[in-house]
Amino acid sequence: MKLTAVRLTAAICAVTALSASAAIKQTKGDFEDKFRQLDESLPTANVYRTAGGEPGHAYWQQQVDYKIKVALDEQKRRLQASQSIAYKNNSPDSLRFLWIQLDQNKFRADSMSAMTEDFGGLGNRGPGGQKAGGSDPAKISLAALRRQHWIDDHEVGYDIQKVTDGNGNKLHYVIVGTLMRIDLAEPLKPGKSTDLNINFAFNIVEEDAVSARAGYEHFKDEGENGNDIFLLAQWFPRLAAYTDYEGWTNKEFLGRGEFTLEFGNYDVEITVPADHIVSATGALQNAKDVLTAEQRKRLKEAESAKRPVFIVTEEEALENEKEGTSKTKTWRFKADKVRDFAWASSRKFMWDAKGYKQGGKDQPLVMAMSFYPKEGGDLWKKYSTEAVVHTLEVYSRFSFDYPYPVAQSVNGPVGGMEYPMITFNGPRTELQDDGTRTYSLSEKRFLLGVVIHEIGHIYFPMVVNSDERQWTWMDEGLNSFLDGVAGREWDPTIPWGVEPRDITGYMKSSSQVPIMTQSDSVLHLGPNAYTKPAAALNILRETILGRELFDFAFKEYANRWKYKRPTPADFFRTMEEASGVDLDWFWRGWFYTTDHVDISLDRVYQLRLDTENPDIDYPRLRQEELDKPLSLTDLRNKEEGKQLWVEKNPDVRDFYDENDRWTVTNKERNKYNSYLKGLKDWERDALERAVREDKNYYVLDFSNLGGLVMPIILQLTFEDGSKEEMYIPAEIWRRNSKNVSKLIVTDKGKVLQSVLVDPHWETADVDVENNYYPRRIIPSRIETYKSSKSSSLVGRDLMQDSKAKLKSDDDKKDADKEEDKQ
Amino acid sequence: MRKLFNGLVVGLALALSAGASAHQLKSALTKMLFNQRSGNVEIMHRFYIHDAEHALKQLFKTNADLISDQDAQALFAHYVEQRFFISNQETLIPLNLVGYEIEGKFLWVYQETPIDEAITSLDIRNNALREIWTTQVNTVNIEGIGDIKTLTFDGNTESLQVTLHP
Repeated sequence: MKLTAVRLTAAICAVTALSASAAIKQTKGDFEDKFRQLDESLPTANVYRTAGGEPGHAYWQQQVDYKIKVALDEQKRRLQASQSIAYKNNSPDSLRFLWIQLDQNKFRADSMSAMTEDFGGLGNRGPGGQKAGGSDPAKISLAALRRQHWIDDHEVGYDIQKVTDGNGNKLHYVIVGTLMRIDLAEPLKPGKSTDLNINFAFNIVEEDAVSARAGYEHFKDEGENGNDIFLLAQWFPRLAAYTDYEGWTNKEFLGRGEFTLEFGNYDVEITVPADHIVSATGALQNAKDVLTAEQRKRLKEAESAKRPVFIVTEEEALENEKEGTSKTKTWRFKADKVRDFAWASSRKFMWDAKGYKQGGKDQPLVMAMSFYPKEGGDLWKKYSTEAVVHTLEVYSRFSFDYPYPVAQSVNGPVGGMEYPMITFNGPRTELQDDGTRTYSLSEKRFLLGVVIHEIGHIYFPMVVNSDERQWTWMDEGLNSFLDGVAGREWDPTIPWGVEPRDITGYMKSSSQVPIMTQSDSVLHLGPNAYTKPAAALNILRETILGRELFDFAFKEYANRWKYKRPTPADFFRTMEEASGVDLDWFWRGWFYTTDHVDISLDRVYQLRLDTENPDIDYPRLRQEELDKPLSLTDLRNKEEGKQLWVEKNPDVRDFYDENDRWTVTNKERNKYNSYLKGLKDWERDALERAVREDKNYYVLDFSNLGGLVMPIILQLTFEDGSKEEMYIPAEIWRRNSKNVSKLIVTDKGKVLQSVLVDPHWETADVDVENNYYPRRIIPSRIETYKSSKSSSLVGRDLMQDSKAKLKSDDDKKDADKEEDKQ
Repeated sequence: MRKLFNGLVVGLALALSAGASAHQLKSALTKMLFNQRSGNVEIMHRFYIHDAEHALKQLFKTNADLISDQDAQALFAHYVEQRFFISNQETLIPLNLVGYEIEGKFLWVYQETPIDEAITSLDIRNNALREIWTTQVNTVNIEGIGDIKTLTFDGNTESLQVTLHP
């Protein structure tokens, strides 16, 4: 007895602990409200962020302007810089200290990122190793060793040389990992500004060795000492964001969660070897100092050219590659209203440009430009700048005019990374033995895909400034959705973006985590932050809201938060408010849980109306009995030729032999007539009409096996060969998220033959087999492959096959012989 | 640190450096279906073509265009054969390479073996691409035997066990 009591206590504790996580909880029965409004999960609306997902009437964000002078020491691969920062406190709070991001410190051996690396663990960015397992020894990859060696041999992280206020007075500072706290002499009051000066230097990491989002790449066989491409990002101490929703966003940089930044205006002077070409965030201010007259003339021509014009040609770049110089030049760039500043520099760069005349009042002319070494080859010459222009055309339609004077694609050692006005993109050509440069179809698709994707990021999150450190999906998911849209408008034969069917494998797996997981903790970043949210938005646009509502709401979101800082709640609320459609169930299912979509059509049965009229109902009942299979005993008696008593004695008959039990008498008719009389007028009309029309009534039983509630899309096929589609909104699941039934009424002649759920594969339903009623065998991929192998066209080697000569009749014999051999 | 390195030597030979590519996906999905209809365990590996093409480049020094070059597809399929194993009680179960095909942005590789009802658990290894990119993540969904079971082969995972008849 005592033991029982103890157990009970333990059980109650467990329940209490669970209920603490959600404010509203079903504590009896197993009803699950998949349509519960999200209010309990979303932050409370306030004067900074409205309940409709808009910036509130007291919305604020800080303004941080930078003036930087930086010099690249090519020999030492080191940056030396001084910067002055003007920090305007627009918040209602007094600030006694400022937090600065020191991202370069992530590369230090004692950084939290390095110290917490799970050896061989999941989700590291960059080279790793494998633990010992079973009979295998532990492994460390050569790449990991290279990284280790590189870190051993180089001093990395920031050398902070000076931190003062605007008057040159030293300020006290404390470095905390990838962050630095600067203590102000006086609290910075709301509405006031303060100036900071920071001098700093650091050694640039070798991108291929360290796997970063920037760094240098060395080409050793060129010129006297070889050449480098320098890609510089996260290169200057940047203010951490101070926000209304989190205060200081000073979460350590672990490598995965990217950047949370403030908008500001930049004035940057970059001193590099005189033969370098520089691409940077911003508009070039001193073309006369750094470009030749010829180059400036070409740049002018490019503004109205149909195809990209070379500002620096391949020949000129190759000439530059041959020898270096000890002279320097200073390039000056200005950029307004940007949240970051990145740049690239190399003597290997050729440079092409083409003007994009988008019109409008903000930025009628945008220069789309690409910078790449000879290794980029035709792939870059043909497609990079054109893809930049295409991206601007499509993305602007979904958001706002591209707001900056330049949009650039730069080739270097980084696979793909985005910054305001400038992106780094990795794909290249391959040098063949005959000296030509070629690229595969897959590499071409990759270049188009990565340029569209990274340029797309200039909108999200560079202008619509979401918090990347917290939520990778807010920029990657939205951007992957849009790059799919833009890609399809480039060439739909290329398999772009995200079809709902591509994400089913991940969504049904048990290793899925909710999309609403902080970036550093996500297990599978690709499917979780890119593919699944993109597929979800695709479904929202094409299936649930439709293009008109979705496109309006999405554009509203983009414009509300242009140059501002949205949170997930602002996105969810805006999409809902602007479309006028309750989407809380959708966000809850797709973004807050790990449910998947699997709707099964379990049963279809037909109902028949009882007319109450015995002259109609009784014959029907008789027919029903006749339609039943004969009793086996009767059947076998008949087969044996057994003569029945009634057959042997036809002379003995009575009333019941002539009239079966479904014979209608006036008694039934009188009863029917008095039933009709007893009906109210409207009841009688309804009955009579139903009898007259004699429609078919079908009940479809569905079960939700995956948990995620979604619309049920039906394709009804009738015996006359016609098909109809039907869309049942997801709300059908609101009172029972596990089983629902739907009544479908069709005209007399429309006899239902079969039903198919989700005929266009638009809902990410993971199991197609249970979508059919009656069930049909759905061959597995292997079964399909085996049966169609002979007729498959996809695997043909067209390039090889196209060399074949057309054979004449004389050749036929030989051909037959060849076939016999196979 | 010293102790760590003692154990490392063997693994080095195959490991090559890989350029960082933020958007190379480095993930593969395998569906392992117990197909009662065909009586086979059907193993369907889905790789991104671009991943597979770069892997071939590193492994075999070939610049093949995987989409059009069937020999390169075959080469990759045979490579996958050498990286995916299922075994029972330390005994390797032979898998038949059914074929491979390109579909959209994916390269599929198919293997199968007859279902053996006597076997109650399997040890699975999926090492494809993991010696090239240690960030490679291979997910295996086991289907057709009740609830889907997911195995994740990432950096530190060598072999995972799945129980077939719980």
